[in-house]
Amino acid sequence: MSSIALVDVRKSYPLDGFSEPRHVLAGVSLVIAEGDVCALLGPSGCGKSTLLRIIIGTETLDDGTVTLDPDPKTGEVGIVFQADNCLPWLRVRDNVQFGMDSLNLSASDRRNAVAEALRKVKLSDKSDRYPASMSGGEQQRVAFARLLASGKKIWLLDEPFSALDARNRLLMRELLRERAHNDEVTTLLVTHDLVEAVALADRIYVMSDVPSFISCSLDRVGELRDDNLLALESHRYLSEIIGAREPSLPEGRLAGYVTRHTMKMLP
Amino acid sequence: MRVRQRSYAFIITSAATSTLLAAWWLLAKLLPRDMAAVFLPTPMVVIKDLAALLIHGGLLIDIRTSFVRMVAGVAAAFALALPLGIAIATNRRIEAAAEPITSVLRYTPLTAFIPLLMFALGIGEAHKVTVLCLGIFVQLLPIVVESLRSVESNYVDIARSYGFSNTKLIRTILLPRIMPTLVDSIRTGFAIGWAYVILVEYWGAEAGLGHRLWRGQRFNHPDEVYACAVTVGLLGLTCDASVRLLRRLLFPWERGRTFRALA
Repeated sequence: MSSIALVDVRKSYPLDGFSEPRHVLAGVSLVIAEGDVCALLGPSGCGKSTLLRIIIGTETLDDGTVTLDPDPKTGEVGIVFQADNCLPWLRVRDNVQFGMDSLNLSASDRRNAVAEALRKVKLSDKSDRYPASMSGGEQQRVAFARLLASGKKIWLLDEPFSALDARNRLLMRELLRERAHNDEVTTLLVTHDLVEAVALADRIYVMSDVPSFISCSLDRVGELRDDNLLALESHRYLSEIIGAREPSLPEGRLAGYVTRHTMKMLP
Repeated sequence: MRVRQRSYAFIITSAATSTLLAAWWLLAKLLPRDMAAVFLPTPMVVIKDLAALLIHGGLLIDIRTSFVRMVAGVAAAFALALPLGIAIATNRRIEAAAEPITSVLRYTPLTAFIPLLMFALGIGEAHKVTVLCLGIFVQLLPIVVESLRSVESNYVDIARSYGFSNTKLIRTILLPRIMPTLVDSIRTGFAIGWAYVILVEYWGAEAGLGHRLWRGQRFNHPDEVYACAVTVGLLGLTCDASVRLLRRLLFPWERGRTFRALA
């Protein structure tokens, strides 16, 4: 069993003691059922990463409840960030192995799991390297290998593929999809990439910089397609997200539509 | 390319050193002879004195005595600053409680406590090492706290998401992360330490570089004063080089992370 449930989570930052506190999260509720991949879409600075920190408990919340099953204290959460994923003093192999001591595996099983994960992300030849000598994209792949090897039941991914080149991005997506759907892993994928969200998620939540929170399942995205133009309640934010800024576009329309595997941009 | 850059740096360093020595020599020559004998002997005279002191005058014993005091002071300061720094950086209540130490003591002239400490500890080794330890400690503590605070928050988040306890977080993330900074601050410790060693060896010392330096002053031997000052400088250089080497050897993962803005 694994699931994530947030009910009416509120968070505001008192930037200083004098000005009005800024609401980062104004009543966020979301549920991710076991085995689901849920994407959280939103522009930069709208509080996605704050929400993630609240879920793992390194950020306090003003109001609301966060329920993780199993409890995060049991160490069932695996996490990948945009950057600073790799501990610089550990070699790649040890980075992948980091935290695996809670799994009660024999040393050889652990070694095999690490080798297997590194093979999957195509970094077997670099297992002796230190992260400082690797590119940002390679470091993200190391973090992803750690996630694959860790056997965690809850995956929290914060723009995990942002530094990857197109080919590796497809590879990682494929790995994520495979594992997420086979192993009953519950995944929250934070991204500002609409294509990624649609390609991977069973359910998409859209966060905007004004306090509102809109969810739509993939089927509804399909239903709402209108003359090859995707129109959603959240159209404005979605069009911001994919960068459709052409003034000639009718208000409330997106400059493209998306299916699970392709994205077509309209002229 | 790298080798070439290094040899350039070496040439520049040598040129700067020679220029300084030449300036010293020139100044000593320009002064009237009797004044120069008291205030500024030429580099050659100092080097000759230094050699004589090393061979016949027991300078090595002074170096050893001061060095042992120094190592004791630095070690004690680390033993205090590391646990307290970790406590301050990870616990708000302890941070508030330690506020007087961190902010007030740092700006209080520690030299003011030297006579007070004499009442409690006398003028023996305990007094010397305590003064050294305190002097280094007040500078070391903020370094420890600051380096812990600048540990990447993602590393902490990773550890927390894995359900690590506080001790495990400190052991597996915080300490390894700040280790290079700690090793580097040995240099800071020694640099501050030398100032205090020279000072505390004014009282009740039978040996030590400071002891020799003050004696040189009292008995009008400026050459001995200079010899001690130069020795301290050379020891500082050696310490710097050793710590840098130690850092390279201990933390191979840092290689390629140095950054020079205008290189």
